Amino acid sequence: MSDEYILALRKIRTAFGTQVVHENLDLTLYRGEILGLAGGSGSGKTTLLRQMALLTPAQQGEISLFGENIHKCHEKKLNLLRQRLGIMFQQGALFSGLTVLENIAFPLKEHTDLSKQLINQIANLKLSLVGLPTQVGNKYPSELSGGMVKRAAIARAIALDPELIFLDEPTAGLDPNSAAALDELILSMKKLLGLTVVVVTHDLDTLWHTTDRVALLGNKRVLAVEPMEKLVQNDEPLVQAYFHQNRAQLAKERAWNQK
Amino acid sequence: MHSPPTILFDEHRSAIQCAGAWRLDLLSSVEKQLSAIQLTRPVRWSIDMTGMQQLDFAGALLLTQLFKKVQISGLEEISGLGQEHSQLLQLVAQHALDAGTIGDPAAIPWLERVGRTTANQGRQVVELLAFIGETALSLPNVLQAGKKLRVPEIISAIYHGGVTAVPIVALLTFLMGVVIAFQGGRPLDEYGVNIFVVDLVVLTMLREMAPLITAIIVAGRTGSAYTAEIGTMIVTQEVDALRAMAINPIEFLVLPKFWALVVSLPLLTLLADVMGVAGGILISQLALGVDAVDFIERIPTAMEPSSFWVGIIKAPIFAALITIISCYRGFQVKSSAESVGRETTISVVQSIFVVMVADALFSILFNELDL
Repeated sequence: MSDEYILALRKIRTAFGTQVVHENLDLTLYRGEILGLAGGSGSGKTTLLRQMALLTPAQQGEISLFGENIHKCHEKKLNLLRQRLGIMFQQGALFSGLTVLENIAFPLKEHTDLSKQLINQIANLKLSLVGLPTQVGNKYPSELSGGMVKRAAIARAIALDPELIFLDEPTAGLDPNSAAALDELILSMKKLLGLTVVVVTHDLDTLWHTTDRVALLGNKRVLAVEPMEKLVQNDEPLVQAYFHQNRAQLAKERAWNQK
Repeated sequence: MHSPPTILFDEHRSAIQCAGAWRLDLLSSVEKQLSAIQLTRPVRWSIDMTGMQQLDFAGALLLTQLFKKVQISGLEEISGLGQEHSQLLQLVAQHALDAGTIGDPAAIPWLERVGRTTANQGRQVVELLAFIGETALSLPNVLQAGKKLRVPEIISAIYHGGVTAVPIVALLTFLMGVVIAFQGGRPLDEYGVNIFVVDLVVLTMLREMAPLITAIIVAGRTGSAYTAEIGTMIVTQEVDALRAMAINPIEFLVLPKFWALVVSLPLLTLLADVMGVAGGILISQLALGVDAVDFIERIPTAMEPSSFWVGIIKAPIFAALITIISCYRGFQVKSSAESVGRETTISVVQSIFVVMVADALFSILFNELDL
C-alpha cells in the first residue's frame, strides 16, 4: 500500500427523490490496498459502489479515478478507464447465452487483438485461478451452482488484468471453505498483481482476513475508515452498534464451543 | 512510464532478452513475433529478464509458452527475474497445466439435423396439446372455487391487452377501410355503380378484415408481452416460487389473460368494424360521390346480419388461440435471456400463423353453412 491514491470521492451527495442516501461523503482509496465497504442495509453501499465503478454518475460532488477527474471525461475516455477496472456483481451477471469460458473470453475478444488461441488460454488460466475445474468452462451459467457463478464472475472481472476490482458480496452464499479460498485468492491477487480491491461485504471473516482498511457507512457518510482491529475499538456509537450484533454472535459461538 | 514489451533472440549467443511491460493491452505484437519464430538449433538458451518492467497474467502466460518452446523447465535458469514476477510465473505455470479449450460446437450431419428437427417439432405439438389440456382442466377448478376467478387480474389484463390497444386498432382499421374503398371504388366508378362500394367495404371489413387485422395486432402486441412476461418470470424463478406456494402457475398466470383477451378481442373487433366502415364512408363521400347518408341507408340491403356475427364470433376463438400459444411459448423459456427473445419471436409468428389458418377454416365452414 502506497500513498498514491487511485480513487478519491469528495463531498458526494446522493438522493433518491426526497430520501438522502449520502451527504458530504469523503473516501480515499490507495493503490494496492484492499478496502472493505461495510454498513447496514440501506446505507448505500451498492449505490456508492456503482458510482465508484462508473456505472452511475455522482449527482453532486467529485470523483477522481486513476488521477482523472471523471466529471471532465468524455464517454470515450471513461470507457478507457472502465477497461482498467473489473467488477463482480452480486448475482454474477454472467451472460446467460454464453458458456463460462466464453464469458471470460468476451472482454478479451472485445478489447485486445490477441490470437484466439491465447485468449482461450488466458480465459482458462483465469478459470483455474478462481478455483474452477476446466470442465466448468463449457457449461452455461444456468447449469452452475451459486458459488460457481460467483467464482466465474470474478474470473470475468479479472479477465483484463485490471488495476482495480470491485467485489459486491463475493463470499455471500458460499460454503465456509470456498469463502476462505476466495479470501486467499483476493489476497494473492493483491500481492502478485498489485491489485487494488474494494469489497462490499457483510462477512466478518472477509473483513478480518483480507482487508487493509474498512470503511463503515452509516448516517449518510463514512463513519470511519480504519483497519479492523482499530475499527472494532472505535467509540462512535453507530460503529459500536454495527459490531455489537456480530460480537454477540461470536460470544454465542464461544459458548457453544464450550459445551 | 512503461515501454512496450520486446523480445530479442540472439542466435549466436543463444540468449533471449525480454524487456518492457508485458501487459495484456500491449501484448499482441510480442505474441505474433513469438508464434512466428522457428527455433532450429537444439541448444540451451539463456533468458535474461532484467529489463522486465511489468508482468501480468497474460504476459506470464505468454512467457510460460516461450519457456516451453525453448525447453526451459525451471525458473532458476532465468536471470534478472524479480521475486514478484517469479511468484506470478509459478502461479501461472501451476494453473496453466490443465487448460481446456473453447469447444466449437461439432458440426451435425444434415440427416441427423433433419431428424432432430422433426422429432423436436413432433414433441412440441404433443407438449402444446398437453398445455391446452392442462389449461382446460384448470378451468372447472376455478369455476368451482368461485371466488378464485381473480377478477382484479382479469380487469388489469383487459386494460393492458384491450383498452390500451384501442388507438392503434382504431387507426389501422380506419386506414384499411380507406384503402379498400379507394382500390375497390375505381373499377366500380368505371361501371357507374358507385353505390356498390358499400357492399364491398362493409362485407370485407365485417366478415374478414376487422377480425383478422385486430387479431394480428393483438398477437403482435399482447401475445408477445405475455410470452416475455412469463418467460422472464421463469428466468427469475418466480414461476418456481408460485409452485412452491402451491399456486398453480397456469391458474394464476394464464387464465386471467385468457379471459381478458376472450372478452376484449370481440370488443376490439367491434371497434374495428365501426372504424373500417367509417374509413369507407369518408372515401366514398370524398372520392366516389356516394353520400354518407346513402351509404348508411344501403348497409341493411348490402349485408345480412349474419355477416356481422360471423366476424364477431371468430374473435374469441382467435383470442383463445393467441393466449394459449403465447403463454405456452412463455413456459418453454429456459433460464437464459436469449431464450426469452427466441420464444417471443416464435410466439408471434406462430400466433399469426394459427390465426390465419383458423380464419381459412372458418371461411370453409361458413361457406358450407351458407352464412
